[in-house]
Amino acid sequence: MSSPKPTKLVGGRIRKKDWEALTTGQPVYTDDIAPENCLIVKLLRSPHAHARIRSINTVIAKKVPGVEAVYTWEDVPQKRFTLAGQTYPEPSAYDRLILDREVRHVGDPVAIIAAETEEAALKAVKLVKVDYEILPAVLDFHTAKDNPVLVHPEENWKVLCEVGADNKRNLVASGCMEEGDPEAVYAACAYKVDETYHTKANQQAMMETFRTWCQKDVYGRLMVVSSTQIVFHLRRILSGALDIPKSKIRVLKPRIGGGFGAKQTSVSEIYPAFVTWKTGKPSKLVYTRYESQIASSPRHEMELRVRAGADKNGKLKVLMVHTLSNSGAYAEHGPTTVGLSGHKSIPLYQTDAYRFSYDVVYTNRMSSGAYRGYGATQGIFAVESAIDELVKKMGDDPVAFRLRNMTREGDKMPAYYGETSLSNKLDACLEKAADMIGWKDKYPRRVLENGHIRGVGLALDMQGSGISGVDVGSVTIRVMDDGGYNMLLGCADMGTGCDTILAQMAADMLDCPLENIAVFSADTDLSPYDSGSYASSTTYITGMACVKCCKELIGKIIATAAEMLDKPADALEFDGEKVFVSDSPDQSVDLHQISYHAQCGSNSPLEATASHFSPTSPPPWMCGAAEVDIDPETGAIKVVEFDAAVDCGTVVNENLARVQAEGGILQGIGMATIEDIVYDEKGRDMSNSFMQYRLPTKEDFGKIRVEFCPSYEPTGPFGAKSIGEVVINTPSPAIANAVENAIGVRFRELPITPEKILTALREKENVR
Amino acid sequence: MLHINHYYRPDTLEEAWQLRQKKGSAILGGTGWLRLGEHTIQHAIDLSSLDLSYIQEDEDGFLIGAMTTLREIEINEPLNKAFDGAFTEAVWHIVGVQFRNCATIGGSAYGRFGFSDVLALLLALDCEVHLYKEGWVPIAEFAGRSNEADLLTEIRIRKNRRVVYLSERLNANDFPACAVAVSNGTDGWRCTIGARPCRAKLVTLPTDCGSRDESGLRKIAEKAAASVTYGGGMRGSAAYRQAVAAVLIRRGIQALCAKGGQA
Amino acid sequence: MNKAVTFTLNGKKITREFPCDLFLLEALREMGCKSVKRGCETSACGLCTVWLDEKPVLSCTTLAVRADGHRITTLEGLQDEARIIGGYLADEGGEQCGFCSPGLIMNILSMEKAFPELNPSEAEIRHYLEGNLCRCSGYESHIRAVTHYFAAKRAERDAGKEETK
Repeated sequence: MSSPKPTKLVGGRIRKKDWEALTTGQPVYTDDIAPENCLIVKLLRSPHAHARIRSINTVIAKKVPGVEAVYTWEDVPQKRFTLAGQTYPEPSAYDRLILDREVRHVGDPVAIIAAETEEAALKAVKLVKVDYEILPAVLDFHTAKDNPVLVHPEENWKVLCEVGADNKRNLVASGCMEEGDPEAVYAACAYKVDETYHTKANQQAMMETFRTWCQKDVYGRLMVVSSTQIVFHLRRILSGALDIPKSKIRVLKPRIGGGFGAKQTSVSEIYPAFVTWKTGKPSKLVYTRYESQIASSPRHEMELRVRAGADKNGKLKVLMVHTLSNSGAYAEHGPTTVGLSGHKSIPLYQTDAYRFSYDVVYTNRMSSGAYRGYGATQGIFAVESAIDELVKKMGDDPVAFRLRNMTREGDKMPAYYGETSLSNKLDACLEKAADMIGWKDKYPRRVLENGHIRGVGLALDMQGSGISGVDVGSVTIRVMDDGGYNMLLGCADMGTGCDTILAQMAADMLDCPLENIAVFSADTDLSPYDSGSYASSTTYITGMACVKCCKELIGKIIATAAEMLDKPADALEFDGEKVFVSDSPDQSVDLHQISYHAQCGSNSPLEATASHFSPTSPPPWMCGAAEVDIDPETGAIKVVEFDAAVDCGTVVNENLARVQAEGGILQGIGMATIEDIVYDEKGRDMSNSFMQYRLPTKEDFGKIRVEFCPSYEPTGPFGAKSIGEVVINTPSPAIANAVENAIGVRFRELPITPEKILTALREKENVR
Repeated sequence: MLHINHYYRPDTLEEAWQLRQKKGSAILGGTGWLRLGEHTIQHAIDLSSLDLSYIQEDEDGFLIGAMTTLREIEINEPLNKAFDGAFTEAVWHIVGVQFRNCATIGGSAYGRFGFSDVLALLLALDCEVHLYKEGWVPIAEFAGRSNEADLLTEIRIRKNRRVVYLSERLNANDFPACAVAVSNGTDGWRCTIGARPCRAKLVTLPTDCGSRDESGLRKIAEKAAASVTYGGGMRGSAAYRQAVAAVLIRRGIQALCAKGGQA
Repeated sequence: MNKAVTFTLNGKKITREFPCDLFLLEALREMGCKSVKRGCETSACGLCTVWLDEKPVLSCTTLAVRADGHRITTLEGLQDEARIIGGYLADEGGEQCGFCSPGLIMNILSMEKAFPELNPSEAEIRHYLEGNLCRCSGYESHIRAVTHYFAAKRAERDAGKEETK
């Protein structure tokens, strides 16, 4: 369908509709609105990476005054499910129970305790006595595949999709695809790179930890209020986990204190849901930061072997990527994140041939999940590092090489499901970012008076806009009787501003001020079905549903007016305030009259619901350029400038798009230089607090600057594509490239810390 | 979890001291780390009604009350003028303004934490702590002790040494991976090496530091850095800490020389 | 054990009994000040920032009994001021998920005392607000908002001076 061009509100700098509630500290988040009489839910967690529970004694714990219930593996349904928030049938294996007799990572829940006070619950946690049979653990993901120790030996483990999973081989997924004859093309290349890159697990570290409260409603149904990105998937997950019908469950999300993908997994919900379902009493579970660090849904650790080859004319001929991904103790998002490590790195370039193969393995570490970038981040770090290594070997220029070989508008992308790039300003992004950073003057390095060395580096990247052919966005809009509109959404504004962005689109479509659109999200009883806010989908997918919905609603408004004016609908027009006769504009009825008419003796409600899915997932494109400052004596590194040019199609709201970009870039800088989940030899996560897992502060970088190079995406609402994820992918490779340009050392493992830099510099000195 | 059974805010030092003699008692400093770990305090003693928050300057030096916050240390002009900003630099990286508004110099000194920036700086200076019953104790001696039942009431710092404070950390407000304070005075040069990650240690430097060339200074700094032991941890290996310590010691000496020799 | 404590909360004098080991964060939330948020347990994030007298402190590690005899201010007591700064943040999109906004705004408001000339440099803004973690924004929008806010404050002050001349 045709899409409207940018008009009044779309393209503007609009404040978020909820800004005043948020900045004045109103009680709008999950824990703020929990009933006061909630049972407090706490979890006893495994101290072992892999163990089987011989016995659990809960007798003493249950005697603590105020303790309502203590549940163990013996009390829960025995049907397996996945906590991954994905469209059914989920690619992630059904390998979870609410509580299992076998525990698979340090922090895996062993017992659920519900008590009237936190103190009683914590006391009871300590008094549950567990006899563990400690099992050998698979801690190194290199040794997981075909290891005699199985993470999921159970017979009722199952997969719904063909993803190459095999629990008897510790395989969460495996696969291979190629086009052309990559080995032959590679063999004939004049210049070759064959290197292996390693990205670590990272925490999303949203400021609001996982949290959920539940109560039974007046009909005896389970009402679940949770900080989640996926209300509808959550309803299905809970239905499976508790083994109760979906009609018994209602899921709502209030304001969310950040998600970044973490809340695309049902991390906290099953426990209070089980407690309330069993006891009939309201219950609440608020994860501590410690729990959020050790038992959550971080980025998949990946090791990627990249083989890239170019001919003597500087033409890139072939890219081959093999990814080994560490899914941890459960399969959540394992089969899908790995896909992006190839599908969203290889198509950056036009080649004669490609191959992408992968193994995703179970280990006895915390389960991984969805984190902004979702595998593309890892793949792009590897490929964009390898490209710079190739460029170095060729004596070529990183900008010129990329301009020569990049995918441009109209190019087909064989590794991206054969899609054609219909909107693409990647070339402009590269030129703009290079210009912003001062590439011509600064490349490759400068030595400052104080002895510090500055280097610049850049990288390209892409993401998708929704999951093509799968995920669905829906919007319902109703005309209120004063001419305003209710817009009901099932997507999740987690600070991203999608409530506002969709309202901007609706207001432009309906020709009304933003204030006339009253937004509501999200409640499985009231909202139209939406897959949820993940995979960079909401602006593009739900946005298109919004456009469709408005068109349909205008049709209904005109149809009602046609009755009133006694004219055929095709003789009428709607201008946002009234419907008038095209030939005779004096003949009109205003929206108030129309809405009252529809409420009195009418068979046709003035409301519309539209759904949208997209057969394609048009990539947004970006170029990021980093300037790093390195103290060669201490290894200290600081990103003094990061400049980015982004093609997200039409910029729907410049404020929000810019902050998405700046925020994603800083998360990427954190990943590149600071953040690391460190385990000890027993599989315990040592990065278990913000004291140990460091986040970037305002003083950890010089400047982040963002410019837009908008293309127009013909399949998107108002020409828009996504922006939420594409912004996190360039910092790691751009910084690694800048570091090599500065000091001549290539880092293929993240994060690039002062200690690693100093060690490498000293080794280099010793070799001399 | 933390358990506190009784809370007192005594009006006199004697009363505070009496309370401190009780079993299971503890003095409350800024309480920034109180939440960490499991502990039970029978008697928590708050010194905030004892007028122990002050920075007084006289000809000799400064008297700083134990309850003076790190934020007050950070922005106190006379103190930072006398020591060329070293106090600002030493507390600059500690978490954030809100934390430094709580944390006290008495708590920092008394805690004798390995990561303490404050202790590393104080050790490089001519400094004593005043204990209510015992009287003045040199900071080096105090730092070597373990917790005691006396009350730390104030800290005296003489203006007879110049000092430079340098540190390296993974990110801006992290604990230091390595911290060094270099000072010189009429009795020569010394430096402290902190965050090894153990408690800061004092090292004497050769008296002729000021007249050595770059390569001579490198040797001195490397020798000094090698004279203490290091441990590994989340914030760096022993080898990395030692390597950084040597660089920071040399830079500290150079910075002091550049500022014009002895105090 | 509990201890009776008398303090001023957002301008109102209050007497309450608090357990000796209760932290101010929990006490304030129980008393309805839901703007005060917890982000960590290790004094690292700044989300729980409130004022003790007029100084920003971390309520997560300040014992509630220590409020005795002091003035405690949360964003509930600074609604008009919050709305003004909130507007500057929202004009940059900088509030994003909003979970860190109350603590951040409490700290921004305290800058007026720390910088009586109302002219903090960018470096000073970065340093003063360093203890307020935010995972959404990348901070640049906060810097822009605070810069604009103080520019407006200075203009307001200078206009006032003109009038009194």
